[in-house]
Amino acid sequence: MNVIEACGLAKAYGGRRVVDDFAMTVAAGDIYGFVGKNGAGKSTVMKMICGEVAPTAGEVALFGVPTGIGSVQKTSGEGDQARRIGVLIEQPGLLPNLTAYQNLQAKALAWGIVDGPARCEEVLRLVGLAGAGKQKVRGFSLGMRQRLGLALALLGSPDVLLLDEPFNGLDPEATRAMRNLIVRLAQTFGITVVISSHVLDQLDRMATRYGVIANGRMVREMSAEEVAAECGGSLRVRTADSPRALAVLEEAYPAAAFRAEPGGTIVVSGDYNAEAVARTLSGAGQVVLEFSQDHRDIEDYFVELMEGGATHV
Amino acid sequence: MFNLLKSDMYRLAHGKMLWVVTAIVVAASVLVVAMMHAVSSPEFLSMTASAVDMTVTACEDEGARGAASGDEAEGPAAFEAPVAAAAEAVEDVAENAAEAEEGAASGSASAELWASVAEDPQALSEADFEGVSREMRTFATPADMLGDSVVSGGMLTLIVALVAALFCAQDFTTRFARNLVMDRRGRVRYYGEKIALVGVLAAFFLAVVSLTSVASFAVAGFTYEAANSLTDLLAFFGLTWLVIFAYGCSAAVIVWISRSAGAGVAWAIVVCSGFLGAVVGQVLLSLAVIAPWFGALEPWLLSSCVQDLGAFAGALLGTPAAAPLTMVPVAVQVLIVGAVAAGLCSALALGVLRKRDL
Repeated sequence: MNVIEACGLAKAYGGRRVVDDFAMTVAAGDIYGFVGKNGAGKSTVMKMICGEVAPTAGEVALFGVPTGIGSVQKTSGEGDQARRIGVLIEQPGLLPNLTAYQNLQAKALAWGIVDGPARCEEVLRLVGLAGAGKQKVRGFSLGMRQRLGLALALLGSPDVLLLDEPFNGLDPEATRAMRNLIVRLAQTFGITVVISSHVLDQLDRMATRYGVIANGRMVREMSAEEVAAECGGSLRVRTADSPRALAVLEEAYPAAAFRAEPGGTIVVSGDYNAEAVARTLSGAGQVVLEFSQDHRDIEDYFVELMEGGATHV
Repeated sequence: MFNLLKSDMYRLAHGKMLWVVTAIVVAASVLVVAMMHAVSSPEFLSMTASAVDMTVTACEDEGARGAASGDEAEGPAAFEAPVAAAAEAVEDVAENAAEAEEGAASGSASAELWASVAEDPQALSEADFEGVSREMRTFATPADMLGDSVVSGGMLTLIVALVAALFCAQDFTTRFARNLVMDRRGRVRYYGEKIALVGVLAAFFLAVVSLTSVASFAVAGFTYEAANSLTDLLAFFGLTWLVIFAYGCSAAVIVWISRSAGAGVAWAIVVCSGFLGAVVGQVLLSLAVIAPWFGALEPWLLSSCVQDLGAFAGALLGTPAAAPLTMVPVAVQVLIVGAVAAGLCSALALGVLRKRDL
């Protein structure tokens, strides 16, 4: 089931379209890495999904129900669906003069959450702020603020979390803690997470699907497996008898792709196993002069996609 | 919407702003009563009368010295001028007291006092001062007391507008509004709740100031000539609340338009205190020389309604409204102006501002 479906989404500010003809599909259970350059329109898309910003055109359906935010007619699902989304976009909205617990309680009251005090304590524990509940938010570090922002997003027991740059300003330890928490939320509670971030190696460690936005348009959506395959490594092999080695390998691995370089190096890509390739060459009596594995940097891969923003799916 | 209201009440109750402002309001109300108690005390009246007496005597002595110095040219003039000036000053005081206190219970008493001082400062006894003090410490009705000390100064409208502006701005400056459901229906609820909150704040501060003033005046020994009828009291409190609410809503709308606490505070100080209204009123009255209808607009300003509430607090249902509605009481005039102002603000928020992105 798709929990978020955006179609033909557009947003114009002062006549300039920052998001245009945007399409996005997020399935239940996904950890959706939303990737794009600064100003590509990531935050605007997320704001349109949660209803903070009204689209100029297009439609967003949450849990299969059109929100009707951008349409003239009001739909029955509006509001009810929005409550199933927890949002942390840009900086968390915190009241500095209140304590962490009071911030949560203020939202719990506004949302009419049953047994609010218990739920507030629960989410504070969940994000690791149980000991800081009585502290004024004014004295919180950036990491604590982000965690409290996440706690606010989790307060309504959402089915979907929209997180915009949750790693911004966090030190490595806090980044790891935040990443682990997000993964735990997805795995333990089955929460679908849409997460935009520039920290691609963090996304790489948790995302199950990706969407790449460039110039306000969705360039490509793909699964983590597809990304792994496309960024996946290649094997560089050089032997004393390259033509013979190529023939042996082509015969042994018909699903893999081979390319012979001018210096006699053979580049193996696609479906292969490095260990098996080494054994095959050894078995064929080949003298191996070079044997190394190349990985395509995920950052390079996404940058390439983002720069090819003119072509969109 | 009720949930949002509960949330805002929680935030107000657990924050500092409400309590700091309430403490300031209570302190200001007590201070006003203390000052009124001091200036209406027999000792203060006696002291003031003595000061006037001394002024007259000093002027007479100076005149006499001038005459004794043998300055033929200036002597008589120098003698007569200060005495005449002093006598004139005392008469002015008497006239001003009579005018200022016109209609108030203490008015005739203090006017008589100053008239007596002007005629013969030595003739006044302690009993005279005590009598005048008693009369000055007697209000016509409780509503008149509140109208005089609480409403007409514009403090309440200013305070409620300030709190409303600062609280509404906080949602945007801290981005707390992002934690709320802000789709189309959510925004209608949001703005509707905030307007209701301004109403609650208006009622809260009106109650705090009224209770503080009533208690403080009672402790200070002030009394009333008569009680208000329930209808008069309801009319006074209802209309005062409406006008404060309208001013509070206007400050909230300015914040929602500008998304700035500074703009809301500036609006509260310049407009909701009644300052701008007084200036506009004077301009309209001046323009009435050119076209009389300008002058006819002045009573229909919200700030003029605040003045009407202060001046006719105990008789809002018995005092005729301004033209062209002279056949109805001034209460109807205040009701129309207050309701139109509050209605315009609400329509702007719920009709136009709710369409604006967060």
